[in-house]
Amino acid sequence: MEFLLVLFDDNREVRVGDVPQGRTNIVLELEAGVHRVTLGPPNDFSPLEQKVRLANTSAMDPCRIVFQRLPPAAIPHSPGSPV
Amino acid sequence: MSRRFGLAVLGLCVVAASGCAHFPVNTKLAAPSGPGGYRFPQMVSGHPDPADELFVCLSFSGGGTRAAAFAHGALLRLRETDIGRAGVPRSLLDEVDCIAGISGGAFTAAYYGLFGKAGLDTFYDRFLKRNIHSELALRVLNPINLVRLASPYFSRIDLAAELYDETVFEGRKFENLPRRPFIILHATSMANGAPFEFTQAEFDFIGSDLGTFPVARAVAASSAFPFLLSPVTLRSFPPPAGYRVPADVTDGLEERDLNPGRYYWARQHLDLMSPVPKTADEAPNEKWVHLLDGGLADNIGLRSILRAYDRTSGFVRPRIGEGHIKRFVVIAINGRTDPPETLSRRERSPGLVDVFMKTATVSMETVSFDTIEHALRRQTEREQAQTDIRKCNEALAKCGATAMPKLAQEIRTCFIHIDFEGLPSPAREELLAYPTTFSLQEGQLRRLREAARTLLDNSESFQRLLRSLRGEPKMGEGIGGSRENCS
Repeated sequence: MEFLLVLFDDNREVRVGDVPQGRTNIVLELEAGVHRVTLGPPNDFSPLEQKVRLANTSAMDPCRIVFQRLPPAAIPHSPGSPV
Repeated sequence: MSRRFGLAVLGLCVVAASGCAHFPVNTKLAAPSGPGGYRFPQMVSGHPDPADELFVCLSFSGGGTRAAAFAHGALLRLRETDIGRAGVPRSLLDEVDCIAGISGGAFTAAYYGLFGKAGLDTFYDRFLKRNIHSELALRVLNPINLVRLASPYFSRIDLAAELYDETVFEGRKFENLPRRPFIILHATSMANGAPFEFTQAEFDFIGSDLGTFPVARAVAASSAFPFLLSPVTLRSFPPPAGYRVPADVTDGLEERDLNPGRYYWARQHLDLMSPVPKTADEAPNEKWVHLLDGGLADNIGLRSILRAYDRTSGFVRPRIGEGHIKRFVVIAINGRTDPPETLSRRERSPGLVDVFMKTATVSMETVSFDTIEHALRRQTEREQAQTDIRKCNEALAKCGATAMPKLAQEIRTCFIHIDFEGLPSPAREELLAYPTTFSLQEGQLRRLREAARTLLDNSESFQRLLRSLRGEPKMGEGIGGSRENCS
């Protein structure tokens, strides 16, 4: 198995392949290979999705990816929400 | 003249009747099943279900009535195993969350899933003590069935499914099965040798609704031993509009060298799918999935549990990532045999029957050992990761440094595998020589159920698990501070 650490400045749900798999800032154990990673709502982060290829990681040295929080003005409006 | 006419009419009737005989076709899915259908209850992120805390999965191997009786004995033992605390009784069987069943083991798994604890008291009369071979032979010899069997769309396995449906499973469908414990019945796809699970997640790929599918037919597919029984056939419909292939499958296809297991799992699932017609006028390309005995792909039944553990789309992995599971227990009830080998004592080349039987069974053993090693490897990896992080953080704390990120939950793991090899002689040799058949004698059935009890009672890991669950004092930790299996 491989290990992934998703860094964000808040405790947020992490979705891997559209399925919740844990939280930000804790180590996640996942299968080797390609995974699409995103965070739970609201969509105040960038990029909206990251593709990672997990290989040769360890619990002590997980693959690290970072999501940045967007300033309020830069948050994309989701369809149907008030502008 | 009139005699000839009569014979001609009779002949026409036979042809018409046989032409009408057709296996029941699975139902087309009208809309994407979403989180519905027969699948493990959906996890709610951030809201742990207390039932997930102690997560117990059982696997029941193939091996005809021998495996069914052995699994039945294990369930009886778990039912009377009290893990209650502070005087509140609770059976270990109440904690079982999933059961994977193959072939003979599929009968026990499905029956327990449908009829629950009370069903354990009726399973012996309803299935184990019966001579299924004779009953099936009688059905085959019934003149009406002989006519039906003349149809190319109706075969012996369809008669077997009818027999199980009427006399064992009371016509129940998958929609009658509770979702916990989640029963995973397995077969093997003839087209590519891939395991096929009777779950809605799998049926999504063939655009079909598992809810209306008879449990007996799934059990028949799981036990359709090659040459003796014919395959069970399912229709693969084009997926309903709006269906999305799970991301785990599309991502798995992007990387073959790094994780071939995931890659081929993904490809085999896409192979099941029927193409969507390009225009409304275009006739759909018919596609059919032919299923044989689940033991050909995995005779222990552990692989579906391991896939649920490995895959992000599985029902175990997200619960571990979220920290909902605190203890993960897998108990493999393996009714494999090892009869005295006679082939190598003969100079003459093995005959056709020997070759057929060996062809059908020789790979089962190899795959089974690989599966057990896979399970042990996963357990070791998890324990090692937890120990590494804990020890590192202990060292960092001593020098006042910031702790490194942890896993969501340090889970306790437990893997227990019982088979007849663990019995004392002469019971060991006796049970290892039991045949794979759907007809065993009363004494054999009793010894098989007693064997399950003895093996669990003699298993150090099982006893360690019970002490730990009951909150009894620990017997000491393993080397290097890592926990012992099941402690």
